[in-house]
Amino acid sequence: MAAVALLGSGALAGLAGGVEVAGVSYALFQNLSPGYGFTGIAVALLARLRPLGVLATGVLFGALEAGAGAMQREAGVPAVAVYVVEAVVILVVLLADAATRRQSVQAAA
Amino acid sequence: VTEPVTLLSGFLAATVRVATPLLLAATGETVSERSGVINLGLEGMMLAGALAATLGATAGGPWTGVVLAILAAVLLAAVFAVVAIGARADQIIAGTAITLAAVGLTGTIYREAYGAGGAGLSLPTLAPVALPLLSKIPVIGPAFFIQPVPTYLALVAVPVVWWILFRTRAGLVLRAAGEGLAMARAAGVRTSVVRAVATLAGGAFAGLAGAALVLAQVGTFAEKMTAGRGYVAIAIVVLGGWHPFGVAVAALLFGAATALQYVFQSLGLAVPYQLFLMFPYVLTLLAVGGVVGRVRAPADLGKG
Repeated sequence: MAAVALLGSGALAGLAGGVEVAGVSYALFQNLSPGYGFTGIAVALLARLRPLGVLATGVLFGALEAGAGAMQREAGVPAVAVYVVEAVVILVVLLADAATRRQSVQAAA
Repeated sequence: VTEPVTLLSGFLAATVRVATPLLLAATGETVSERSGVINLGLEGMMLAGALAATLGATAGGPWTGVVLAILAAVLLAAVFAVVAIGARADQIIAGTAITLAAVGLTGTIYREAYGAGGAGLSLPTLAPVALPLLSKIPVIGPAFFIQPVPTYLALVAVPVVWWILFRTRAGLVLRAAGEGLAMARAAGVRTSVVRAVATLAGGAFAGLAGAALVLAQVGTFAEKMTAGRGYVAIAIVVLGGWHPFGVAVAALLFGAATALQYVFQSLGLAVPYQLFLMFPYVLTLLAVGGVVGRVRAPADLGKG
């Protein structure tokens, strides 16, 4: 079962790479992916590993990264600053989760 | 045509030079993973260390750079510790976020400080220091004992970390937090404090690794210049079986795989060097899969 899941996940990752080359950058070069794989992990975990949630967090992170380019052109803020925003989003969600867990533990006790 | 001995000596020297930042980062990660904390922020902490070393070296010389690098990485490690240990959040997510934050912060600060052009900086670097007598040993001498100070720090850190982990009470407590969290807690160990200290120590090593990369290897800063070395260091810890000496051998192996490309270039061989960059990873996979040797992670690694 785990093996099938891993194979499927590999297939989807390959699809992501294929789409990037065939539909976005139209070229193959070294280090094609600027950390999409790792951002993908963050996107999945932020959605608490729910497929429909991934739709939301994926679009959120996509919007952030697409907006980053505009931000650099319009306001002169380096596009990489968007990673800080993404990181803060993740850390805040983690801390909020932890706080909720603590409350529910106290409520149970 | 280069003489074989010179070639070998140059290969070994390049191996050690490339391995130094990996060894430093992996040694730090060994400490934190032995306490049960897997730190995927390592990549980001190295990167932060690299930029801080650049800024510090520009302002006040290479040693100011080293100190700033350690401080910057420890600061990130502290944030990681608050979230992953203090709030018991998922270590993998927290670490990924720390690396993301570091990529963004270093990129932004670098562009603010040096402009978007990214012209090659000329930094005051750490020159190689020849150790008396030892550097006179043929072949091995120049490779291991005519190196910048961070290399010596890395080589000394390996036995010191081994001694602390396996021969002191503090090390026993640290390993207990990684192997049997519940039991350690029941025995009255303040496991969160132990893990936080181990994480901060790992951060300090990561900062030093970043400084070594900039000041003793590359000589300049570029965005995302760690280029996955933090993740490589995590693989090295696995291949080294979470043991300081094994980790040292594994780091040298990864260093050798990279250094081979220089040999190939000087020999004029048309083998793509990327092929050799793959071998250590294959070895790591085999090691984890139990094919080569037997390695086992600390039982409570990644568990809060």
